[in-house]
Amino acid sequence: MNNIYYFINENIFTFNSGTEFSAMNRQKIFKKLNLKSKIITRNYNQGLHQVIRNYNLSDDDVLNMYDYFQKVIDIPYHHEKLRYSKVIDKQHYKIVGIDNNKSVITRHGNTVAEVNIFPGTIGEIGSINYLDQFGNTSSRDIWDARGFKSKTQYLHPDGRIGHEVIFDYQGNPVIEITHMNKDNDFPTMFKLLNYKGHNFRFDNEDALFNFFLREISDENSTVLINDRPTLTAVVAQVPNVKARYQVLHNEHTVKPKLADKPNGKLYPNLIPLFNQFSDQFNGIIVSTSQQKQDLNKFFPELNVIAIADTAIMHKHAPATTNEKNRHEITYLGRVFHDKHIDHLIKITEDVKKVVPDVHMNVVGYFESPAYKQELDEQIKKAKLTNNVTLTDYRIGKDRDNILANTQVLLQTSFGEGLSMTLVQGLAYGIPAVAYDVNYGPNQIIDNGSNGYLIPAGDKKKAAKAVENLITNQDLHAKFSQAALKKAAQFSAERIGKQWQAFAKHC
Amino acid sequence: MNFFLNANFNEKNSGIEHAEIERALLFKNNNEPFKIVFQSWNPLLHHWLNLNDIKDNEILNLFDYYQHTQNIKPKKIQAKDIDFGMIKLEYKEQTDKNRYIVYQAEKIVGRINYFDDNISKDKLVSSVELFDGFEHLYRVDFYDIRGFKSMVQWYTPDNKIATEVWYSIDGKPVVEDYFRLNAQGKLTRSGYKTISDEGTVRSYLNYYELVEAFINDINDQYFSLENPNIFIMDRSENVEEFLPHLRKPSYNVLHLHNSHAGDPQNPDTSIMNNNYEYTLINANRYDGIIVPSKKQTRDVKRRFQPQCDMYTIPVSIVSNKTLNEKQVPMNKRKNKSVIATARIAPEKQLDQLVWAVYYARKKVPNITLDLYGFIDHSNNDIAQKRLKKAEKETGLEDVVKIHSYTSDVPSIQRNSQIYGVTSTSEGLSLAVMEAQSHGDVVLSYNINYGQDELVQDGKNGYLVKPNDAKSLGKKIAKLFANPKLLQKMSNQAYELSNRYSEKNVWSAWQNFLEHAQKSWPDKVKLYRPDITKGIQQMDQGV
Repeated sequence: MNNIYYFINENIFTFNSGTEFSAMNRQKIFKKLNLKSKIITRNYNQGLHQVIRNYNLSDDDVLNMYDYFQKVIDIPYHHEKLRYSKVIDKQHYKIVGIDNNKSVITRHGNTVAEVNIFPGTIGEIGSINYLDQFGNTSSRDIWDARGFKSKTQYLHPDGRIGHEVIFDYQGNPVIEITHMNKDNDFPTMFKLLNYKGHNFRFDNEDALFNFFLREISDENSTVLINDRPTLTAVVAQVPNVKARYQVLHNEHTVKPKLADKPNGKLYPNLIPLFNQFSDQFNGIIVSTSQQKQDLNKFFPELNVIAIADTAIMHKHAPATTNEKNRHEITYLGRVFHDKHIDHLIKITEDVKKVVPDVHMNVVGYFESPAYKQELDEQIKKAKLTNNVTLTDYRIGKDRDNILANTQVLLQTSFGEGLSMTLVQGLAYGIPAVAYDVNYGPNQIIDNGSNGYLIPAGDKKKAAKAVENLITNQDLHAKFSQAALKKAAQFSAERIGKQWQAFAKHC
Repeated sequence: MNFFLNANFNEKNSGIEHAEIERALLFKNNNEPFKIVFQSWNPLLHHWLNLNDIKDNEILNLFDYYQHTQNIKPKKIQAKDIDFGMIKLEYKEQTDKNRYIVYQAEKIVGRINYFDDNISKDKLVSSVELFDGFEHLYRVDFYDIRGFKSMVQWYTPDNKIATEVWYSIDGKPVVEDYFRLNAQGKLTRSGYKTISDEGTVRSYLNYYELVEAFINDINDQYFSLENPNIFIMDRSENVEEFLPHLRKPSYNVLHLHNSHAGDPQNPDTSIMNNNYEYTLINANRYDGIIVPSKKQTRDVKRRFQPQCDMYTIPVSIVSNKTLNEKQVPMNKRKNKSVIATARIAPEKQLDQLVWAVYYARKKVPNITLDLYGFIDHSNNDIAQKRLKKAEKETGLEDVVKIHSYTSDVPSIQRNSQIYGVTSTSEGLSLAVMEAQSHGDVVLSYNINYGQDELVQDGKNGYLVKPNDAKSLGKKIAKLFANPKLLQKMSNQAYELSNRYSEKNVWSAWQNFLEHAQKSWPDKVKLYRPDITKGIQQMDQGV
């Protein structure tokens, strides 16, 4: 078994969704199992190596396409401090600090460049905008978190991105990207320069990504596990691999409740997988056996494998209850329209009638600043400013702290792949109240034991359930114990065994 | 180091470049180091200079300097060497346009243009136009004749240049400029950037600042407390303002190649020659002025009373080779021939030479007139129009022969008898000096400067009043009517050329170099080098 497993993804962001969390979770499980694996990312990301550290991944766990062509997979971290950087010729240019995030470079009274400090660092170069005599940005140098100039963007005269040049560690151009459309900024060409002695021209990033996957794959050992439906076609067309799998992180139909019905419509981004490329995949991995059954109903010939897309990696101290937090409810996840955040607010409004100091904490990354504002207004209108808080994305200790003080996890989405937060909540012994939708909540919540399953959309019933749990301490303690017990089903050991069985067949 | 400051060099050049090349060869023969400094980007710069015996390491071009391409081994880049990053390409050659058009499956991938066969017969790539998969022209690569991609123009979706990037020999961007709309809405170069090997990025608001950085960089590189860097402004555009204010001391000299006065016949009072107005007004900020003739040196001193050093050094040299050539007697030359080797330009007034020949032919028939020089088309071809008019009015259409520019001036001069000068003014005319060194008898208007020095009236030629074509004609007739006198004057022309021998001109330069060296200790006395200690990162904390 010398297989190497590549988990295909677009990016690992500062703010991630379930898809990335799941891939990172799987990477950690594979590592524990001594299975060789890496997360493969397609997108250019100057902060990738800083970000993955926040998720306790090492450089070895992730292989980015641009890193590969830049030959910077395994380079030392270096702190390029603006004030000591060779980039600035301080005998002829002045560095003027504006604040912690920004400095400007001046000469003879003209501002010739603006430096953005790398987020999360003290004084390290993030990017530099060079200004022309009219004050336009003419070009922009983008620095990698590991302290080297990674890319230069040259702007068109109208200020849009013109062409981009990506460098290796020594400063040699290795990739050129052009943007030649009149009315949009989509790239129109990717060109590899002097790669193994030749240039290679591609019409789009996915074509380059496909080339890259061919370069790193080997037909005797490479198993591609694709986490992104948008990359299905790219992965399907890598010929030199041992096996290909597609992971579905979400329900597969536009209306989740029609998942097993003939009139259930597939999500458009899944149509290529089922209608065109299914033969290219050795299997489809879903989180629940229910989803497996539903899929096999319509695609009986498909090899569908059910393995939960998240596992509990560490034992936690259970959440505690005290005077301050006993009415604390949390939603943790993407704060997007499809998660029905408006229901969360409505339910809180109802609970408040009985429990005036109920507090709902909505934590996650927001669809858009506009959406956050919309929610803010809804909260004000319902006079819930003291009862509902909108909190930006949290990870690590901050997130841990939030969960440790949560009495009830509330979830009102109409469709899920599994419900990662509910799984994580089990580890803290947090009872959950969630709409009983495809897929996941009913795998995690045993109704009336460690939480309540509510018919989708029944806000009144959900409010009642929450109310029950936060006003009845004995009930809460009982549910909490049950949740901790339930957590065993999602332990890293148990899910690791499923992956081990999977790996045996690869 | 001795730096000769210039702008550019091409196949055809003006007298300033000729003078500079002669000086360079003189320095070389006397083992005195020098660099000819050029500001303009030119893919054929080394080609043209090499043809003039200037070696790569004697050429210091701004772009070469930052590209590290001053002294490289030439390579032959041909169409087959261009890697489009595509396979199954089809090449269609258009020989009339010196190019190949490259297709893949009927879609255009690129156009490869090659240098004309007067430069090289090998179809060496001069530029490549590149198209993307949607057939947008997105960039044009320009190649140096020495075989490397030198400059790239990146295009906008509406087919305008957005950015120009010059690459180092190993392919890294080292100089860049940008085009942006100015306040009038016109697309203009709006800034430059250089990137050093260490990654230091410097930006400049305009080309002037880039040139200033370049001159400072070379001054720094060659700076020494013992010997001066000498900057000779043969062309002063872009450098004249900052040269007195370089970071480190230098010895800076203005070289006059033409009259300082707009009307050379009124050197004390006429409006100043625009090319020298700024430098002469600020002459005391430089260390010296080099003037080609004694008379002009006197005039400059009298008019401006400059306090900087003044040097009189002839701008051209008669080589030992020429001086030792076998002399050609007049009867072995084209009989009754008059020539001029000069641009057909208004200030040369060659129409007046036609008139002079016309008057001469009244007394002595069968005199010929041959003109060699490329045509200056400025002012609606006024020079050529005047010439045609004179030919028509004198009826000499069949006598006056206009030849294009020739690179073999010596053999033409060796086969001619009289050389005519009817210009409004001259410096110390290189063409006249050459003609005399080949035994031509020069008949000239007595104009400033140098004619009265080159032509010793009645010895090796005659001087007549400016714009007096009739008198000039009389002198031509007189000489052709008296072959003995003609031969005697030709002998004198050969003899007097020794004044401009390499040995004599070099001793004038030696005098200059010694002066510069002598003044150097005073110049560096007040100089303090930049701080280098205590400015690096020393606290290793985060």
